Amino acid sequence: MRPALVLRISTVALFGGCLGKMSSESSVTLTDSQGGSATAAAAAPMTPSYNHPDTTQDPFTVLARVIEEGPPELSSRLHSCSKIKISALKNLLVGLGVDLNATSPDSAAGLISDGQSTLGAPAFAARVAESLMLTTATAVKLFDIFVQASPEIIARMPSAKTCMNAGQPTSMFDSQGKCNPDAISCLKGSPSNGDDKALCDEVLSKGSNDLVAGTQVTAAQAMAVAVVLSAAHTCE
Amino acid sequence: MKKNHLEIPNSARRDFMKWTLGMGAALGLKPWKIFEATESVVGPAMADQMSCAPVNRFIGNVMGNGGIAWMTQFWPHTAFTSKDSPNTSFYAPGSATAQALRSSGDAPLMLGPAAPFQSAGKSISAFLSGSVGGHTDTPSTALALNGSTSLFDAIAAVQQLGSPTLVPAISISQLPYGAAPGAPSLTTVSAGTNFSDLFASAASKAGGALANPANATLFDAYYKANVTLQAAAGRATRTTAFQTGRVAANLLGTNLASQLKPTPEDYARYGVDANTAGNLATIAGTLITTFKAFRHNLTNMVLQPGMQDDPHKAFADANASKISTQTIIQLGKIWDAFMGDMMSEPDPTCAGAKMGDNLIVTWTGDQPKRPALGSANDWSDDAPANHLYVLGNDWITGGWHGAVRGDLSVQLWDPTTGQSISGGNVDALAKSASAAVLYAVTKGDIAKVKDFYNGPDIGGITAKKSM
Repeated sequence: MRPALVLRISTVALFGGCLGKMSSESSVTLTDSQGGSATAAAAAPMTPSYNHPDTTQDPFTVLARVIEEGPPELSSRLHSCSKIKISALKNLLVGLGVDLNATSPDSAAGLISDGQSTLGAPAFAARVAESLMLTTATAVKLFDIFVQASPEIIARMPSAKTCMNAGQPTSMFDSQGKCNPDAISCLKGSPSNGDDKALCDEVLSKGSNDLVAGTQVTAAQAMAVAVVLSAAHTCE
Repeated sequence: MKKNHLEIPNSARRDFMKWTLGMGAALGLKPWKIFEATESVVGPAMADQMSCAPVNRFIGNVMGNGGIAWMTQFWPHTAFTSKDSPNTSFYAPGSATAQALRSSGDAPLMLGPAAPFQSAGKSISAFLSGSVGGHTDTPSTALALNGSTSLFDAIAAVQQLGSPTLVPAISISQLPYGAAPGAPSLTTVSAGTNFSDLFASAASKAGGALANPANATLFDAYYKANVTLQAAAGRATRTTAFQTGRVAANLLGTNLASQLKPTPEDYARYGVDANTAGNLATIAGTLITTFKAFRHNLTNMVLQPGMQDDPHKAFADANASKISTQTIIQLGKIWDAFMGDMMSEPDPTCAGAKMGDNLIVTWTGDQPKRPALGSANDWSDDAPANHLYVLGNDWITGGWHGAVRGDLSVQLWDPTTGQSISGGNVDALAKSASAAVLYAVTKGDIAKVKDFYNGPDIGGITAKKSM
């Protein structure tokens, strides 16, 4: 057998065991006192009888990833995706200049206050901890909060310490009305690249210019900010 | 000329159906229009598959803290329904009528005068199932199925496969939900009154950034584009969350709250007014929104708490009995109004059927209370076994499975024959009763039931139904 083929089979076998992909069928071997044995189907296969999506990957891709990221027990922590905790969400918004004492029900503060259950807040009386799972309703509420917070963020970013660059204030948009990469970095919490700036500028050019009620911010500007925040903070 | 249709592999069919139905609902298209478009694109076979969902919708009522006791007034134990029953806790002794036997497997069951669903011709199945528990808002003994898998999550898992919706399972408050393989995340809302807020956003209201539908579409598209820029977007550990995010980005610009919120006319139809007790009005409001959400095919499962009022003193004296009678009558009216709505509407997921024909409902709890009153007319907690009531739409044999006798001893039942037995384990029977409910939700697909259940055969408590 060719070495490359052996390596390929071995790698598949290795990862098949290490990465814990479970077989939908299992069997148990019964041994009697005389040493005879029989194989019987294990009772009650609990895996549903439907086709799973094909998630098979090239073993070499998996191997390269494991080398780069470390073993699964480590990388699963680094790359898992849990819902942003409510306290972290509040810290994020406050850092970007959002007033969480606002009382309007449609403000970011109001949405957080009224949407505690949807955001997965703990129910201590029922001994239920804060949910870390991102449900659809939670995601809708989260994105809604980001959209509603956007006008405030745009207005207050220059005075937000989180967004200072070498002590200098950062504005969301430059003098030509385009997205500022430094501001995008501040929203994301990681360095901006050319692609996200290009997408941000596209939202500005394609979105409508009608003003969001009660603000001097256009719908396009609010969306440009909210899209970046929503995508960056879908996972904590 | 032979028409060319797109070939969609089995693994992608669920996603195709989910997104097609979801987009259709979001665009406000009539279901037949969606099926017509589907037929022209991917062929009649798949359109047929879409035109009648292989699973039923489901409502799970978790009536903790003694709330389930109210349901014994609709469907009491036979031994306590006559005028001669000593100290009966049934509110209308001598006035109960027998439920019609619809098949050879049906057992007798007496209907209280206020019992709902009689005009709709729906039959009720009742089980002695699981042990009674301490006072809790999250009772689960009657919901056991297998290990960490319980009834609700197993139902959500089969519904997700058979008839995907935008928000697969909704729970009003945190109710028991296990970890069945394939079960979707449970979407929770704090109260029934917030139910419709799931499908409403501040951003899409007038004056909001997404009030303009073109902006909403733009947000959706650029959210997805931004997500793909992330280096970790392709990681298996993030796939589910980003998938959820994509659906949410699409829902964000969809404001269905006005179509889902109960109106004063709805409340009037359900017999709810300013004098209605809060726990009854909450049930009515949730059911109204549930009906509308089902109609828009937004969800397949709603779990709601019920009553939760530990009614020890319901029959303590004449005045308490009068109030309790009003409560029972009003609760029956609410359920009748809901079924009236469901039977008035063609099923958007099953051509030729009414929505009420493709619905399974359960009522479970922790304390069904004792069928006979104790000292000082106390409706005490020491019921000999827990109860599971099911509206099974003829997928489950009707009537009582098991009985509480006049001397308060219990007679249990055999899931394989449907007959009464001596002895037995009421906790083990809870699994078989749950399996029967799952069977009803799957429209009689026992293979799917066996994916989650490994107890005795349930042929004695289930029925075959021609579709």
